[in-house]
Amino acid sequence: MLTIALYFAGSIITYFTKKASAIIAFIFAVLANIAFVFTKPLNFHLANFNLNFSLTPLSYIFGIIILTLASFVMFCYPNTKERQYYPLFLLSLTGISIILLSNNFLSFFFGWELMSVSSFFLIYNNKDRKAGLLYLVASAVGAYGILMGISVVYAKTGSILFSSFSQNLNLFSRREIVYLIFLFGAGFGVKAALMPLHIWAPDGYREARDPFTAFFSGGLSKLGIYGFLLLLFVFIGTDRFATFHITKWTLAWLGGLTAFLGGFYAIFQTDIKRLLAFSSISQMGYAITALSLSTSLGVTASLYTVLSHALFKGILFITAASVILRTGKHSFDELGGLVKNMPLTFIVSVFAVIGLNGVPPMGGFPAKWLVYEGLIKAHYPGLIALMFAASTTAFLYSYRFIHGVFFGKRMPSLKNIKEAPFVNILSSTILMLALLFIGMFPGWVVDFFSPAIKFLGFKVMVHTFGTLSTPLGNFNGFLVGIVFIIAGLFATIVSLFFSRKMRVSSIDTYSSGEALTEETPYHYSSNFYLFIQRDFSGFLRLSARKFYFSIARFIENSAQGLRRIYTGNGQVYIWYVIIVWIGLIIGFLYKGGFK
Amino acid sequence: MTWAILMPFILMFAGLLYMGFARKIHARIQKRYGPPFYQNIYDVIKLFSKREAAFHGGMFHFGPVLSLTGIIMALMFLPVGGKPLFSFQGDLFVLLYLAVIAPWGMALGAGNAENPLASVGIARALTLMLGYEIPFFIGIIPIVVRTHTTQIVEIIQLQQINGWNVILFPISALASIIALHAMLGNKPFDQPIAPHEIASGPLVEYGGKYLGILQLYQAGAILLSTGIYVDLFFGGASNVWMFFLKTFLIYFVLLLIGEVLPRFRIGDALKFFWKWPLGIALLGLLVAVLGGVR
Repeated sequence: MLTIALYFAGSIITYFTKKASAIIAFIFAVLANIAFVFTKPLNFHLANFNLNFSLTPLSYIFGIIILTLASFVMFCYPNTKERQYYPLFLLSLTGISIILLSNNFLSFFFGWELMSVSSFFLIYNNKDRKAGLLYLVASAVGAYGILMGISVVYAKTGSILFSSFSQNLNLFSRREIVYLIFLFGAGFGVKAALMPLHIWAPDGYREARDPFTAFFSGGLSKLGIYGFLLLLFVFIGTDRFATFHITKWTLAWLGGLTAFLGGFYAIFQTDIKRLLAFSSISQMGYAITALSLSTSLGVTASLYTVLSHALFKGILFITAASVILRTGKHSFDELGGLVKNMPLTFIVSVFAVIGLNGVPPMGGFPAKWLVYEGLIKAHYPGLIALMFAASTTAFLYSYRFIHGVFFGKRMPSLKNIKEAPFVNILSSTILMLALLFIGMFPGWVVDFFSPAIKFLGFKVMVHTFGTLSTPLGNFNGFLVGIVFIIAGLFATIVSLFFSRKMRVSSIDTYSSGEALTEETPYHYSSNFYLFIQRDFSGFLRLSARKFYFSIARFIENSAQGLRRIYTGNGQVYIWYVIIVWIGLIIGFLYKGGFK
Repeated sequence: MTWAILMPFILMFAGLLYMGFARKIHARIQKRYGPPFYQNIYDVIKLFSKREAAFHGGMFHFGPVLSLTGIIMALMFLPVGGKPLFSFQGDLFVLLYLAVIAPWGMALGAGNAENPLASVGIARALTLMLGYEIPFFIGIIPIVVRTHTTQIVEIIQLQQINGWNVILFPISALASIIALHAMLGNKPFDQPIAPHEIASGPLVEYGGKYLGILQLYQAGAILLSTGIYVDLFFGGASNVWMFFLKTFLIYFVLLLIGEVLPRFRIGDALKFFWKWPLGIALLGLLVAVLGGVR
């Protein structure tokens, strides 16, 4: 409870402080973060409703991941000078902590709305109003889904407590439960940007204030996963949900399609933050597929994905924030060659990208490995192919990110760009070390998850501090990490001997005999994957957004048709009245008139 | 342990010899005499003993280093001819992802070369990867699902009991071998390094010791990809010589096929992979699933 109070107090105080609000906000965030871990259960009555708050093992894990990331992002240098940045950030954290701590539907919904609205104000700006409004509409649709779900539950059980729902599950028929999954799933799916509901995400992430985007993608979207875990395994129950084969199957394939299509669209983005946004959509697809397997491996994989994604996407969005802060440019077409100006940012983001690709020894690998093992264990041979295809697209878009920002010949206009602010580098370095840590000691991470996994009703997988074992195979993250370090040292030493380095300038490259100057644009960055784009142009033109907008246009046009009747002209209405009267009289006479 | 440390270097050495044979065969097809088969070893020694190497920045240096690291690591986790090395500590998926570190290192290094030709090469390589990785992976799913293990050593042992997977899953093996062909960078799929179009692509700015390191990486990569294929489909090998024989035979056959084919346009290559090998791989998976593999 103290957490919520601290966040709320922080958000009010930072509204009135001016220059010091960064420090105050950070202090409040850290204090609230610590307070979260020691939350005591609390009960109070409000207007006949019994509101109870307590920390469950699941919300403990999610709280630590999300709120800690929030503190790190809060620590970063803000790109915006708006005074409402910190208050709204803290207000959205207030909402999140209410969601995580509440054990009843009423405060859960209140927190959900608080989070949505406060993050809406951080997206909405005058440059692109549509992006913010789209987020608001999508959130509203999701919130209505949740609200309807809650009202269905309340009508049946007469209580808003989580526990009474899960205890009185027998009251619900099988069809009603599927209906509830659909309603709640719409709300959680919007937050996690599950594929048909993702339309707000690319533009929303692009327009969100920096570096709040890092938290938006890394932390806030995880609440969708939290909601799904809560709904499927706590409310409905692990054993009960295991019998819903078609629902499971649908959710798994939706997640798989999200993972693949998100990655595929990310390849062709020219905007830094849009690319990362599609990548986030893709990664959340992994988490949803993993959890919908409803096995021990699947849930572990889902939690692992949540953790690793929070870390590396946090770093990458902080990098994007630094780049945008220093250059003022969003597009890969205008960037390039920044490795000379921002070497530290580059190193950090290379490690993050390795994590994003799921290459050992970084933390992204155990997550992907668990997803694959879980899918094989659960007999989804088709879906595993799709997931692997999705992870292959990650190589393409993450290289585009790294190449577009840091590599190639630098434009003359970017020559005087400074290194990113120290606070950004510091916080992303700490996140990077955490990413390396969870890659090398996957067993400890599973230890950390084990209360939540048990709470959800699964067995914890076999593990030691560095090894994960499934019935299919094992992965020794510690050995891989050690071998990586030793082999890397060996290769570095080899590379330092032998021939001398001869530093050459950027114009001293092979150019088929063309005489290059500093100004010559000799850089390949725009239309990076043009050859794929050309061959799949028809497919790429399809989008869910266009589909929704065409529905909207259809409704608008039919409303226009209706408007022809309701012209607003008084004479026409009198004619209508006369026609109705005549019709009634004719009908009356036809029926037989007065008898 | 000793073998795990030594084996990567033995395999890289063997890979250099394979590349030498390839050059010889290439020359004989063109009615040239060609260099001796140990020429590539001389080349690497020559490259390492160059006095200077052009240097374009930190990542230009660490890219090849990461490549060498990655290839050494991946070879340590590949079971070679009866020697499991570290492969009990990491299964098939670990190996497949470790195999990505090395090309990723080269991509990062080439990106820092400040030459658009290198970037084009990497873009093409990644596009090709999007093409071949998916059929290759779908090709090996039936094995994993049937044997119900992802430990490569166990897959090898089961093949010695039940017969080779290439006989059990011929359709999947076909799909995977086409993908393997592209993985090796053989002729119709050598767009990333197309010398006539983009001046050797990623390697364009590299010279001296860096090129030497990248040659070692390429040599190792030949043994890595053919080695994975042999372990998964051709029953592994009982000793090291058998392993070399099998990998060389596969390499040789694919080389002969490749030498007579012209290069695809990169977009067509991707379309080809998503049409034929992917279709064959999905057919193989379907046949395997219908055949009761669960």
